[in-house]
Amino acid sequence: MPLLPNAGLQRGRVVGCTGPAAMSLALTLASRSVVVGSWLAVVGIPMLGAEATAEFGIPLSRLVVVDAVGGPTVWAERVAAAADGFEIVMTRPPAGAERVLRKVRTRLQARGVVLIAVGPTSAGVSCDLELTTTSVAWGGLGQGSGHLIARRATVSASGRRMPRPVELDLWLPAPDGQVSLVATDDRKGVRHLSVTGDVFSRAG
Amino acid sequence: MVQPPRLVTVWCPEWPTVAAGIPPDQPAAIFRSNRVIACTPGAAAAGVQAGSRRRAAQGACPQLLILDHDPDRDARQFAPVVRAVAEMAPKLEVVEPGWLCLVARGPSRYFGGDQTMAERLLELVGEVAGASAGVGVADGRSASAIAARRAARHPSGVLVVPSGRSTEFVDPLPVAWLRELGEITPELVDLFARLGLRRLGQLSALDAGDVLARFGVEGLHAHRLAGGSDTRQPAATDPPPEWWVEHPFLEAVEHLEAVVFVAKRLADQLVANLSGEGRVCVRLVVIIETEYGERSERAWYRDQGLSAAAMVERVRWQLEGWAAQPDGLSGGVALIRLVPDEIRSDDGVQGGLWGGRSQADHDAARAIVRLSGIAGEQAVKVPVWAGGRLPVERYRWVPASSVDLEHRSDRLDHGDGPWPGALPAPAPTIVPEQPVPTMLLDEAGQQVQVSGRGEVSAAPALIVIGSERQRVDAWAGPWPIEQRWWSSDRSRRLARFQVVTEHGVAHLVGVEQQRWSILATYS
Repeated sequence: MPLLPNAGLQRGRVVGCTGPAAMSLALTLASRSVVVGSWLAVVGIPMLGAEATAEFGIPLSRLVVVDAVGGPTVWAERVAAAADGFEIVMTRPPAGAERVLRKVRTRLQARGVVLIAVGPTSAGVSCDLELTTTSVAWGGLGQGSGHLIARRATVSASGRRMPRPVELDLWLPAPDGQVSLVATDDRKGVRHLSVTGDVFSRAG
Repeated sequence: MVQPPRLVTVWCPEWPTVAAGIPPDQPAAIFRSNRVIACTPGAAAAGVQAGSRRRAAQGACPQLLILDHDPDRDARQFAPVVRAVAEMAPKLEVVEPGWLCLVARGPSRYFGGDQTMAERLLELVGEVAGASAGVGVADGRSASAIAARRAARHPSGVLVVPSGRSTEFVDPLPVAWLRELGEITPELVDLFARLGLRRLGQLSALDAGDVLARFGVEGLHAHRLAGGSDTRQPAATDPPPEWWVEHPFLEAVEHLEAVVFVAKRLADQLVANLSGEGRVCVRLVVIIETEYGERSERAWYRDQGLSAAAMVERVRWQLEGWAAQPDGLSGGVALIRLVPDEIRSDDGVQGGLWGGRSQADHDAARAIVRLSGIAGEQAVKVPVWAGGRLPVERYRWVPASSVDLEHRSDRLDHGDGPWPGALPAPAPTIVPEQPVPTMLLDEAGQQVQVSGRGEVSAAPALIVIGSERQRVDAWAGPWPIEQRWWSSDRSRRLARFQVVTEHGVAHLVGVEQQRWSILATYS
């Protein structure tokens, strides 16, 4: 994905994902590394949907979820411990996480670990790269008919190392279940996604 | 041809009667399926024969004491004999209770020859078992087994066939010996006799290929036994009781996870004990008892050996399986015991606990152990496929410490089969363990109602998220679920809807008994 400035996650960095499609975007970012052998620790997000995680291409055999209830100190301790062994740590920083981030950040940089901070409105910590999902539109659902099939979102990337924010339209996921760039000719197409009769045959 | 190893067989005739504690002169017989399988010399003298029916046996000997066959008792009573022999020669194999096999080479040199060693063995077995026995030494399994049986009928109790002379010893014997060794069916032995193959030598003189063509695999096996070329090495088993580990709970424990954690400690201890001796457990028996005396006992086998994590995983499976049975676990667990039923020397296939893996796997394993230490084992979890129609049911989260992460044997996905009634992809990314209460309102601000027949009172227009009302842009449903209607306490009846709010966030909401809740969120 050409979204990230140096085409890929950079070791030791903190990446923030916010907006209505933050979780999906975070899982998409993590999946490319986990597929090739990295382990993913999800700290402080006890409600992660395992099935969705698998749908975004993450092998569940390398996924571990860690509870982190009890404030920023506990959170920092667990993220730091996870950073010792996992190459990607996904987390929802609690209120006040910024104060304890310094210790975590040195550990991340020392071990070359990517921290993905997820939050609905803000990432909760200062990030090297912030990815915001906006103009999220779902396809497949009508007024009392159909079911969710696909989602399109505009992802804008900004950060310290990016002089100008970059914006991209992504399928998260596309009707075939894959995450991909929205081709220019169907930029407006999602709202008119047709619901055909055989849609439910994909149930599984 | 490979020279068969020189083996010693210890044979206790009519072991089931000895195990039952019957004096030899009292007429008694052990029956299985209405047939005599063993009888005392007293009964044999009165004309009772192995294989005869109960009526026939009673007819021959009216005062016959009749006992049922109990393989557990046979094995239990034989254990002291195994232990005593293991003191002399640790590499031994229990073929069946009453029948031991060991490699002659080591002990024979130690005691100064086959004859001396066999006599020592006989004396030892006689002392421990309190019964007569036969000890046979010969080349190959079948020859030594036959020698031991011949020896048991001889007053000296010992028969040593000189090295290299086993063929001459076996050849003139009748083919009926094959039946006695218990590996060939009586029908085939009868067939050999009727075809004129009366002696083992005649059978072994035939070409192996011809025997296979005419009599099949069993015939070929008989041919090998007759020729004494049965070159299987005896498996080196040790008497296991010293190895087992157990933990009695002072207070019965209701939570299965707590039992699993104790099992983890026991498994670590067991694996440490075994690996200290260079051994690995391939067959583990897990015994769990409740405060009310219920008992679950299962044997678990894995040919490449069970690591501590694999043992814990099997304990968890057994507990979960037991708890899921309708008449299973009724009280708290009072005792857990791990018995290494089959152990062998660690041939290095298994490697270390995390051996043969990438650096990333190694680091993650270490971090999981550390995280479990600081956060508690309940706080570090991995997903296991469970299956269901609601997102929350589809995966369970189990403590990472109770899973063998090296060989994931739990299912991680639903495979290719459909799951009728489940919603199609994409799956929600946020699945709260407990549904979050909400309200779904129509244009008039009234709560949307779903009738028993699945009719929606009005189109949903607003959804209450926290304290905020959000507009519903699109919706679909209801998709009803009626689960376990046969069970009064576990039955569920709910209708599901998907809604997309004005912010572009999609939710899966459910209504159950007129109460709305958010089941999952597509974030």
